[in-house]
Amino acid sequence: MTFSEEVDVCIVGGGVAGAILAFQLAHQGIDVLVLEAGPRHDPAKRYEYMRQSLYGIDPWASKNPGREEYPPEARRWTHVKAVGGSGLHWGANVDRLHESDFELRTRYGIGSDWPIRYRELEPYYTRAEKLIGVAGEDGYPWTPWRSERYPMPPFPFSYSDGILKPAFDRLGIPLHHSPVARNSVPYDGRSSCMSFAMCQTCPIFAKWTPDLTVAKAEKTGKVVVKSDTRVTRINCNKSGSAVESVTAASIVNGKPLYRNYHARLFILGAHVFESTRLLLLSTSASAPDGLGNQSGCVGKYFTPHLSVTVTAELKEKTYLERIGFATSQSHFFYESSRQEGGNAFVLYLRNNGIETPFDTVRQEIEEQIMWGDELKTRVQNRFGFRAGIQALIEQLPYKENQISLDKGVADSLGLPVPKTAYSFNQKRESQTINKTTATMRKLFETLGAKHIRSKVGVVVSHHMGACRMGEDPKVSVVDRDLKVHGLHNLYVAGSSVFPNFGAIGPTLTIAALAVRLADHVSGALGHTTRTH
Amino acid sequence: LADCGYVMGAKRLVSRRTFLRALVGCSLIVVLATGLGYRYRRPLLRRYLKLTLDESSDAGTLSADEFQVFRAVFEVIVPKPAPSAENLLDFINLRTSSAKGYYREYEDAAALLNSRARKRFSSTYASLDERSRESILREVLDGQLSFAQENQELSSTKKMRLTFQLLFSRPEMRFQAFVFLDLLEFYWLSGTGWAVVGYSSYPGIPKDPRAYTVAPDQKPVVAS
Repeated sequence: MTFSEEVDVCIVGGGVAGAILAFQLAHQGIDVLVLEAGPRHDPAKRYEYMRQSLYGIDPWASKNPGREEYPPEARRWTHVKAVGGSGLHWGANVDRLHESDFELRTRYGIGSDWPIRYRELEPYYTRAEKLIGVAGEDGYPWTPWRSERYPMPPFPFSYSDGILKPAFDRLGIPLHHSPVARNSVPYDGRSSCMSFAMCQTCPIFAKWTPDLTVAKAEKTGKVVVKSDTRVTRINCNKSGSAVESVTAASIVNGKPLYRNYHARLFILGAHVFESTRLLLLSTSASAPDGLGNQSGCVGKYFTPHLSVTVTAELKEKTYLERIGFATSQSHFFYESSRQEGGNAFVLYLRNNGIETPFDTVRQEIEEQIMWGDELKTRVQNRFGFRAGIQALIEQLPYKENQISLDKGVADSLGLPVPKTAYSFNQKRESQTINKTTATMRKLFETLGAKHIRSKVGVVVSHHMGACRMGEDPKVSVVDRDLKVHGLHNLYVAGSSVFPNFGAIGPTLTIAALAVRLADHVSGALGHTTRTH
Repeated sequence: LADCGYVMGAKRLVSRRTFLRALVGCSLIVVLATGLGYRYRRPLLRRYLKLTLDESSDAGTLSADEFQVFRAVFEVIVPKPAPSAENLLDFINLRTSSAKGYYREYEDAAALLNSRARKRFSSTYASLDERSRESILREVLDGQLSFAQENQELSSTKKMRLTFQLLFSRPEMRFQAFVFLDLLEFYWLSGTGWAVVGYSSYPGIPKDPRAYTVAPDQKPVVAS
């Protein structure tokens, strides 16, 4: 397809949601234009990127356009602006939200309910899993029911899983396989995992990344992707009931070249920060506080996940860092923790990111500066005994946690940058952090481990909320079909629409919602055949 | 000050008007400085009492002479045999050209080591014998606490020492935190570093897909 003046659908953002939407819609014969603020990374550079990643350079996020324009506080929330978006460097853990996550208020009197239920999203989860390729094991009673088997068999448990398992058995905590968007067998024309243990930049595409789906979508001839094109404003008609175009800037010879792009229907899939920012920036007489913001809810309820990692020195060697992801997890506490007044959490047994020889070097030289053979002997004696367990913890939606515009700081195009107000010291969150820490410490104590250390953190790559979904326009931004309240042709895709978040990485749910939205959009545009 | 002009002996040095102007000017500067200090005290303190990379500084590639300084450091700090100088050059080029702030740190570190070498041995650092290079490294690094700055459980004596060093040994601390550590990272994350701890395969190279399920000296079970 050559780019024409007006397309059927214009998608802002070429990440997980944008890629899947473009692919699905293209197969319906719908013309799609994707506007992506970031660059297009060359897949042939994956080996070079892996080398950079090995030495702590994020080859994706470090090339985000305008990254340095954000204040440090906003910069700490990591995301990738590029064709493929944050799905380029994602961890590829793909659990489904639990049924209870959709009915949190009804079941526990906390958070909010989704306007849809798990049974309604389940077929889309299944389709999303087939699309991206998921390896997992069926039949665990602590995870949500499934209508079909996983597309690929699970990855076997690791050597260190086997060392930690007796402690879990002794405390009655069941372990099960982690579902991951990595090929355990060749799938969809891509190789199976070869254990490079550098998953962030998997050089053989055994891990699914959205740029692969974008490339497939472009091959249909129905999709045009314009990279390095930053949408700066959404323009509505006079009555404010519909979007007519978006204004975007491309940088030509160092100067912004603005252009309006017209479409019948628009979808914002520009990540939580930029989707929110665009709605807030698009003020007009009919929307003085920004689009979809009649309720004042745009930007509110911004939420990440919380995390506690406990590491310890065991009596035997654990041989970590030979694979780049967790192969074991436990959803055992998901509901019981809520019943006890806390939040849901999932435990992951870490296979990586716990101890490299360089980590051991750091520990040694923090105590005393040394080098050469002296350091070598120390490292050889100390390395290889550490193990780690991580808890991914649910945070509830709080209105005070929010993204807004920083009117005092402008980017290179003169637009206010986003800023956040965020804390996680609420009662339920604190209680859960304490409980998870105690549980993991106990697991290590059961094994007679020494030097047990815990670290509490915020998962700065999991951003959710800020454009929440709901039936009531007074307390939400989009409806159950992800359409912005009050506008008949503007939709929001991505984790910004989640009303609450569970203790589950957001990407698979983003993908499932994108597949569902593609069905809805094709219906709205008069196409009735089901997409892939 | 009887006639409202500053006097020394009998001679008037400034007129009353100039004195008042200077007084008002100084007062304004003090008020402004206090206001700015209050507004930005945290970022300023944080910047000064913490070692951070200057991400706004230029990226670039070191000169051949500068690189020789780090080849000379590297030979001292890693176990023998050290990886080839080509790999080291490749790594340093990657760092100084891709990671913001590192180019400046490497340049400053080369200048620091050369200046110490000139002072003690009237020579450049790279042309010293290994023993002399080591003694300069000891002089620069011994007792430095830059690694301790993230440690929340530091004793009050160490905290005081750390603050003192941040104020008076900044170049040495920066060398330790950003260059010395970086060179160790290069070695200990390379195949040679992993081999030292008994790993024949390591992150960044492909492996038998089931090797991670067993200890390195065992054979993985082939999936049926």
